[in-house]
Amino acid sequence: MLKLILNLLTLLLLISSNVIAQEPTTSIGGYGELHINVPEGSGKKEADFHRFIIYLSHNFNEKWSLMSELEIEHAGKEVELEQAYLEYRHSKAFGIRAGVLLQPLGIINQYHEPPMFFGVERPNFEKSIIPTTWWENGIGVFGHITDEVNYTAQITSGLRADGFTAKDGIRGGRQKAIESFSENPSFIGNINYTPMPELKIGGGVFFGNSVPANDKRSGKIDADGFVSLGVGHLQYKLNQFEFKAEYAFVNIADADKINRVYPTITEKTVNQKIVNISGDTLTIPTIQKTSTQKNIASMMNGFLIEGAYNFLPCLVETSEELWAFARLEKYDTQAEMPAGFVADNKYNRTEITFGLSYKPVYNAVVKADLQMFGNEKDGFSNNLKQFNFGIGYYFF
Amino acid sequence: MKFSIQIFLAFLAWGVVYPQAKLFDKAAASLKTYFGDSVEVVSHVFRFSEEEKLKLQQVQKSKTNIDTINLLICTSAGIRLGYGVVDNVKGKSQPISYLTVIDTLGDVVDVNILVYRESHGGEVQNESFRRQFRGKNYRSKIEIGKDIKGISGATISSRSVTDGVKKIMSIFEIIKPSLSK
Repeated sequence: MLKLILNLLTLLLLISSNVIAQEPTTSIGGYGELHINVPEGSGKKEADFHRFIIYLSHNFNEKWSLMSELEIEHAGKEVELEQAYLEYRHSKAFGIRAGVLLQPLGIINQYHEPPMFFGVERPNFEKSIIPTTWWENGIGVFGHITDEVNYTAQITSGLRADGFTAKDGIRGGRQKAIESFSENPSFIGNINYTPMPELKIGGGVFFGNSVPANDKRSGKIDADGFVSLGVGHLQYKLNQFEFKAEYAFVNIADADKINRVYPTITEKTVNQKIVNISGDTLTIPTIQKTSTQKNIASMMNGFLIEGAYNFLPCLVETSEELWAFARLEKYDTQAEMPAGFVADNKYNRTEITFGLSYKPVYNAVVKADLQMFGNEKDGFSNNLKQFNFGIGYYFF
Repeated sequence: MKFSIQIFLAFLAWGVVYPQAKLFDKAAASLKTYFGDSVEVVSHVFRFSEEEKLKLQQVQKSKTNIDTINLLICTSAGIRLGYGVVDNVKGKSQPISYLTVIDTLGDVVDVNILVYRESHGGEVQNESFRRQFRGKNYRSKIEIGKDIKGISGATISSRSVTDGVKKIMSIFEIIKPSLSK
């Protein structure tokens, strides 16, 4: 009897299958960018297939899905798993995900497909302060509080203090989900407010200890290295005009202790001349490691503002886009120093970038720009210029 | 052994059918908010004639393989009030299921997002974005940066939905003459 019911049920369900289908789906996507950097003067001219990324995602059903992002950098020199998480969407208000997660901090950290930002290179302010791109192992919740407000909150592995530098702040402390320490979990929260389609205002915070706990246990360092980071941003887009502004700061507690305990190791490739048995002089490139005392700051901060205008529709009737943009970045990774350490003014930087972005289709771009780098120590008179050319794309 | 296979099959069938049925229910519930509670929603698979297919290819400027479109026909007391079309467009990694509500003249009544599966870009669900489509028809541009404002920080999903609605409107215009028959 039960068998019959089951048979009927199976039949009934198969027949009633509506044409509006939402079956499990697997989708593939990705993005990539080729950069050509031409610095003025003696700097190294470089052509690099900087990033080639593959997205692979699977939708198990309405509620469960998997998202992954595999990144091949510098044409195979580095392979990174930037995202890989399982996600459960309970409702519009609440979802949960776990795995390798992007930190929801700043604009570029979450949206970095090349046609979606201006300039060949990602803004240095975001690289040195936020630090973009930042991903870690963790677990998080997300959802919409109202139609206009969405949130993300996550706990991920924290930072490693031994990687902090005077030049790039906490950037070298990212564990990138590679056999990361889970002893110093950190909290990350983000809220976005979109009152109208044209405007998005967002803010995020990061809190967490950053000294690897195993070092603390061994008595090498008696400090937690508590890092707090705050970022706020605004994006405005109206017809052919786009504007964005972003501010961020990082505070590192125990910067003095970190400076005293961990040295900064810099690697340099030098050509060593060796005379072999036959008397020939050979040039062998060897890696030379130098260890210097760290000089990290207790406070770092910076901002960027950017405006862009698509002027092609003024000239011809087309769906292609030609954007002119200008960006100002000011950031200082030595804003406030711990007692006994002196700020290096060359890390109080100002950068101006302006250039063009041509989009034959909305998800492919050809870019050209000029960057001017200045800093507090050398000023802008003795500045450095760099021309950049690039192509980029994304597809989903 | 056989019994367990049947249980498995029943589950499989349930797993496949359940979400589909839910999507239809959601669409029907949404259509009621536009055409009133007494509206009767019937799902109808509309098959394109060869002539219509050719027209569609011309409009979309590509070889399209669409043979059918699933129309939700809304009637009340024998009077046709309008139509609903459920479609999926791709978001960044997940499909977005949306409903285009069209009146009998071929103008957009509203666009409603039935299921949004991604954690980013959920702003396409907001009324402030969706209301821009109201009153649009096949003659409208329906293009981001022209007559539709894209969403700051939700570029992909706002573009996908906009392109989707444009596609639905061009299809609807072609089948409109056959619908009144």
